[in-house]
Amino acid sequence: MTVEILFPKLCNQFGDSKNVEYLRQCMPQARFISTEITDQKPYFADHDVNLLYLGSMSEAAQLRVIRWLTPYRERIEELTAAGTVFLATGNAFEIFTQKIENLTTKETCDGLGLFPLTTKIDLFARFNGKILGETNGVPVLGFKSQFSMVYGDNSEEYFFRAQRGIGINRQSQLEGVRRGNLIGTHILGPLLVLNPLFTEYLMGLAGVENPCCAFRTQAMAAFERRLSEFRNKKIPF
Amino acid sequence: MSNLRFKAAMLISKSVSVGMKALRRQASYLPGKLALKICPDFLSHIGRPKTIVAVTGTNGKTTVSNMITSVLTANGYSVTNNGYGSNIDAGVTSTLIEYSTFTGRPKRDLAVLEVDERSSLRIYPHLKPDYVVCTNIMRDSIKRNANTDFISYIISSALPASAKLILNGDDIICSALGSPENARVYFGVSCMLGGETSDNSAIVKDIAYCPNCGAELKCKYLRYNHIGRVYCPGCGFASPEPDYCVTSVDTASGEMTVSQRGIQYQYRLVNDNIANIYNTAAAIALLDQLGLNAKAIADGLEKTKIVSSRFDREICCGKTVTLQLAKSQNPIACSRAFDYMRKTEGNAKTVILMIDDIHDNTNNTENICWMYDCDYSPFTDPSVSQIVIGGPRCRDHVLRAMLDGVDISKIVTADTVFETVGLADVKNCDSVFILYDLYLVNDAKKVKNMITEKIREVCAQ
Repeated sequence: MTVEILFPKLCNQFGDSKNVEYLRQCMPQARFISTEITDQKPYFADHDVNLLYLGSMSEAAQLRVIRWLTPYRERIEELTAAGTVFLATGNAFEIFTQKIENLTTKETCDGLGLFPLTTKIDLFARFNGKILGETNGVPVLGFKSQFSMVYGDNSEEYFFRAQRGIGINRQSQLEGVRRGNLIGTHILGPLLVLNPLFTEYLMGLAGVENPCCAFRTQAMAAFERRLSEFRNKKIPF
Repeated sequence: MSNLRFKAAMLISKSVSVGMKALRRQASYLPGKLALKICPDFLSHIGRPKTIVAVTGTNGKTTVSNMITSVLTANGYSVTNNGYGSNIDAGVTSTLIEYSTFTGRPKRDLAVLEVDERSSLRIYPHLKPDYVVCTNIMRDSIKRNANTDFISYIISSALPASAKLILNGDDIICSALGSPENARVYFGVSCMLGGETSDNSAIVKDIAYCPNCGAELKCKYLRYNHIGRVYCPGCGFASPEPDYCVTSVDTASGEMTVSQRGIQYQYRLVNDNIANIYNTAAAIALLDQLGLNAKAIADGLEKTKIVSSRFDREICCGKTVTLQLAKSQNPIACSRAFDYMRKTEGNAKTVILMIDDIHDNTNNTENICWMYDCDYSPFTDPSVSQIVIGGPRCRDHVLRAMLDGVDISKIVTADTVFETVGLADVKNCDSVFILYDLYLVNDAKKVKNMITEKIREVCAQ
C-alpha cells in the first residue's frame, strides 16, 4: 500500500498536514511518500500508487503546482482510469479545471483540464460555509473557506449532491468532481478527521481490507455531534 | 461636494461620539461606521496628527501598540490611540473622531493606531501613516485572512511609499512587505531562547521556498513556525540583519539586551514569552525611530505591563494560577500559548482549555479546521497532569489532542466552560493554567476566581 502526498510543504493551508497525519495513523502499514515541488518528478510518474493526496494552497501556489503537474497530466488520467484514489481538498481540486481566472489580479492560467470547468477567483469575495451530503450511502460534511467558485457542467462527474450548503458555486448543489476514484472537493483539509465513515470508505477504495479509522470512538463522537448540528435546520449554512 | 459631505459626517459622528461618551458608552466603532457611511473617503479629509504610527501584523499588534503608547505616555506625550477600540476602518475612524474637534482638527500630534491587516486597503491610502510596524505575518483566521500570500498582498498594495517600515527581520514573510521605495528597519532576536531547531518540524510553516528563485529555504534556526533565520542555498537570499537586535535575555534578572547601532542597551523584560520578546523589540525599534533615547524607552518600559485581559498570574496557597489568552481560530497564537504553558516551571499542571469561539458556536457550529494547524503536542509534556476541556467543541479537541499523542486518560471534558471548575484537580497540582479565547475573557476571569476559591477550600481542609 503506497500513499503519495503531493507538495506537503506547499499545500497545507487549512489543516491538511494533520489530515495526512490522520491518514497515516489510520493506515499504519502503508508506505507514505512525500513529493515536494522542488523534486524532479513525482513518485507516481514511474510507479503505481494506491492513494494520492493534494491539499489546499495559496492562489499563488496554485500556478506553481499546475506548472509542475502539467507534464504528468496523461499519467494522472491513466492512474484515474486504473482506479487509483486521488483526493484533492480545498482549492487543490481547481487545478483539475480547464482554466483559473483571477478576477482581482486579472491573471488567467490554464489548469490541467481534466474537467470542462472554469475556476474564478475574487480576492475580495471570500466565501465561508458548510456543506452536508452523502456519497455511496456515506454521509460527508465539512467546511469551506475560499475566494473561488467553479463554473461549468459537473452534472456527470460530481462528488456528491449537497443536502445543505452550496456545490461548486452558489447556484450549484453539485459538490466537487469525481471520476472513478479521483475526488476533488472544496471541503477543507480536516475532511478525513471530520468524517471517519468517509475515511473508511476511502481506505476501502484504496485497497485496505476491513478499514477502521484511528481513534474511532473519539472520531465518531465528534462526528455524530457535528452531524446532528449540520442536520439542525436552525443552523445556517 | 465631498468637502460638504465630510463636514456633515464629522459633525454627526462627533456628536454621536460625544453623546456616547456622556452616556459612558464606548464610542469605539459606531461614530466611525457612521462617518464612513456618510463620507466613504472620510479618512482622507479628517485632520491628520503630525505623526501617525500604524501597528499591524498577525499576532502581537495589540500588545505592541499598547507598549508603544505606554512608553510614550510615560514620557509625557499625548497619544491618540485605539487601545480600547476596534482596529478595523470604523474603529480607527472612531478614534480619530474622538481625538478631533468638531471641525476635524486633531487634538494631539501623535497617533499610534493598531490596524487590522485586512483593513489596510481601507486605511493606509487615506491616512498615509509615517511609520508602519509589522509584528509578523502568519496564518490566522481561515475565514477572514485566508493565507499569508493574500495578507502580504493586501498590506503591500496599501502601503504608501512614504511610510517607513519597522519589520520583523526574523519573519521572512513580514520582512518582504512593502516596495523598494519604502525605507525600512528590522528588529529581531539573535540570542538562543531555548527550543530553537535547525530542522523544520513545525506543523505549519507559511513559507518554505525562496521568494526569488523557488528553491527550498534552509534554516540556520527556527524558533517556531517560520520565525527564525533562513537563507536560500540557490540564490543567496536570506533573512535581513536586524537593526534592533535582542542579543541576550535574562529571565532571572528580568532584563534583556538590545543592540542598536552597535551599542548594547539594557531594558526590562516585560514578559518572558518568546512572542512578547519580539513584541518588545518591535516597540523599542519604533520608539527609537520616533527619537526617544534609550533611557527614556527603558524608563517607560519599567511601567509597562501586558494587559491583564491577555495575561494574568497570581499565587494562591502556593499554587500558581495563570490566565493566558489563546486566541481561537488563530492556530499559531494558540500554539504559542500552549507552548508557553509547557515551558513554564511546574511538575503537575492542571490545564483548563476554553478556546471555542462563542460567536461561531451560538446557534451555529464552529469551523474547526484551525485546530488542525495548531500544535497540541505541548499537552504531551510530563508536567501536564490534567487537561480539562470546556465548551461545545470539547470532543473535537479530544480527537485533535490524541492525534498529537496526548494520553486520553489525562483529559476530562464538559460542554460548558463553568463545569470545568468542578472537574479540575486543584489538589494534586502545583499550577493551574486557564487558556481562553478572547471572547471568553469575562468567563475566564470568573473561572479563575472560582478556581482560586476552590484552591483555598482545598488548602483549608
